[in-house]
Amino acid sequence: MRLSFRLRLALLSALLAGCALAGFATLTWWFVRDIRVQQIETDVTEHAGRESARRLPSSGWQQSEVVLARTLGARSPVEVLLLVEDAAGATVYRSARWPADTDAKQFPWPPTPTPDPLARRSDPRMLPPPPASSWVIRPDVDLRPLEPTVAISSFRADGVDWRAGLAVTPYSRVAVAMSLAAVDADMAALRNSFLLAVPLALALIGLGSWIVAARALSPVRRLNASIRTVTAAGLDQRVTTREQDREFEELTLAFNEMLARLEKSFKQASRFSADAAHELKTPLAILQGQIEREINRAEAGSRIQGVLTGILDEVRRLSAISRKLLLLAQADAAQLRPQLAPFDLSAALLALAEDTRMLAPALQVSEDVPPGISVSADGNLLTQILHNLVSNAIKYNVEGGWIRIAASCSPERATVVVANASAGIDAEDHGRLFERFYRADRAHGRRVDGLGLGLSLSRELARVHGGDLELEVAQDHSVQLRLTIPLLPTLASAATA
Amino acid sequence: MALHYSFVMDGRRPAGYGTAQRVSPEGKVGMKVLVVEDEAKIADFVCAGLREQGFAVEHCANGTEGFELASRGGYDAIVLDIMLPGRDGLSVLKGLRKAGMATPVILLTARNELDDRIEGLALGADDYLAKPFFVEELIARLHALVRRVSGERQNVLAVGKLRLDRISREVTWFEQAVDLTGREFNLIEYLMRSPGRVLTRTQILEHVWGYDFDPSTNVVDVCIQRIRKKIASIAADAESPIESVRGVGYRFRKLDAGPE
Repeated sequence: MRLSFRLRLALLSALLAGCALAGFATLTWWFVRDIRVQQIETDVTEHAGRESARRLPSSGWQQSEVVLARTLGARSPVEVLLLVEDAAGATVYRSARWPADTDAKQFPWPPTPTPDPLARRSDPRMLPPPPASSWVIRPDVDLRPLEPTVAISSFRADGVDWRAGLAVTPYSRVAVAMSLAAVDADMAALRNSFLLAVPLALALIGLGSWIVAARALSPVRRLNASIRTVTAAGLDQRVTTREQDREFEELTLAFNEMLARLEKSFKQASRFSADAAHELKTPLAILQGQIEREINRAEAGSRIQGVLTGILDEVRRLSAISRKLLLLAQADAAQLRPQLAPFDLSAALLALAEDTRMLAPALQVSEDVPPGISVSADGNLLTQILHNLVSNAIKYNVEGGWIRIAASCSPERATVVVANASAGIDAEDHGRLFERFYRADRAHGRRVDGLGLGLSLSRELARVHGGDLELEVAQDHSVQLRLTIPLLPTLASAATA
Repeated sequence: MALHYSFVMDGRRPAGYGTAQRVSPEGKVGMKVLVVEDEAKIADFVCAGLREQGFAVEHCANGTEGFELASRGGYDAIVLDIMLPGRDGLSVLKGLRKAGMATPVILLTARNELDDRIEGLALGADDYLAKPFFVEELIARLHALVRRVSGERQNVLAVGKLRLDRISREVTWFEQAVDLTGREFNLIEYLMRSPGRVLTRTQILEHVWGYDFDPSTNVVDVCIQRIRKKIASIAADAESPIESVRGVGYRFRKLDAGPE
């Protein structure tokens, strides 16, 4: 199935927007998480360093852990762990919730800082405590504590990722760990909001481009509608360029130009047939009139009268050919407008059957024509079609053959079937019978005199009436032509009538 | 409209008419016809043909002049070509009808027949003849036209012992009815209209069967034979009123009606 241009446009925009949104969401999520984790890493390292500078009793550390949890912004104290070891590696303090499967020895502790001898000397923790009674300012002593070495470690315990800040001084080792559970929860919330927002946005974009596509295509639809009315109304109509966008105005102009060219060539063709008609018919009329006059002047039964009669017949034949050609030319140029009037088809067919008996007394002529079939047709043209059918049936008959003329009538159309005995038509000739100047080969001899325009013209004339003429080969030895004519004028012919 | 009928059976009768007819075949001798046709040769044989049949003919070769002449009135019929210098035929016709002139008009056209016919008839033409045409046919149409306008005064044709009634479509021969089909009736009516005149098969074919019938058929001969047979079955010893002219066609004998 081929999707409509509009739908494809909407789907494509939605797809593109979807890719962009998905990429954006993924990157955002990643960056946010990274920043949060980095923040935690910085915090735990800093606090580990700070804690390593203190010397507290075991109970003091517990207190410190609570404070630590608060300063680190943990939502519950569970998220923070504290481990303090002395220089010998003995545990001074370890959080009660310290995960059992996590061995602090496995942490990538940084190396113990080597104290500068000067600095050591100046480290207040290395000095003997001053006498309580006398606080002396010793300017040579640097009161800053020795900077610890720090490192970051990550581990996983109880299904949660942790980040641990490790700080080492010559006197102690401190690990401050913080859980990433809060970060993960936040990230999950962010992801969920993305998962909700992106499809919604996609739906909105799809809908938007569906509407935009409709708007973009509406000038095309308008143009299409006006082109349809124009071509139905006739070639002299033009599509209006008013209310057209600039892009479509060009298209309209191009279409109008094409119409103009078409109209010109149609007019030329039709003028040609009118001119040719006049140019041919005037000399034919003169010729015919003068011959007619001379025939009547000549002595009755004289040789010259006979000769003139022969010439007159040929002149009539010539005018019949030119008239048929002109009718065909007009039909081709859609210039043939039948003058529709009620036409008694039954009477015409009965008269035709009578003529057929006179024309071909050797043939068995039968007719099956119910009375009172009346069609809306151009009498001249329809008579011509019927004459053609019958004269064909006579011409292409066999010796001692038969002709059957039948008519029937439905509420919409009348059907005339003219069948005749035949020597058979080659299969390859079937389609060509309606070609102009074509006659089935066996009919080319002088015996059958006629013009291969009859069937072609008859079909055109039938179509001008909104009907048709078709060949039906019933059996091997018969040929059947079926003519249909609407009882009422069709819309197309009524509009031109 | 003034119709100038002169039903006189005097010296103005055309040469072809029988001497002892009780009713002349057409009778409207002296009808005045205006022919508007620019093609000199066509005008020539049309006028000559009409005059031979006893019409009083006036001719002009352009539309403007034709309109002036026609507007003056006094014609029984007008034969009007469509392609004319000056005003074209359709415009002349339109002008005449607008001016209230009801003179019967037969249009002649060589152009786009169907369109001209439709337009012409819509504008008030009474008949239409496509070029090329037979003068004999033009005369037949003119007679039919004037008969129609004048209210069918000439319904009965009688030549010799043959009588033909156009209304009841009955033909009698020695006062006995001859049973004829539609075609046979039309054929004998056409022949009876101009006794003594030779009509070719093609002329007969065109008048009786229509324009498009295949001219190579022998339908005319067959039809004539059948008429002759029917007539002969009534009075076998009487001379057939239809005479063959070898190689040309047929003509109706100038039969004497004989003493009553």
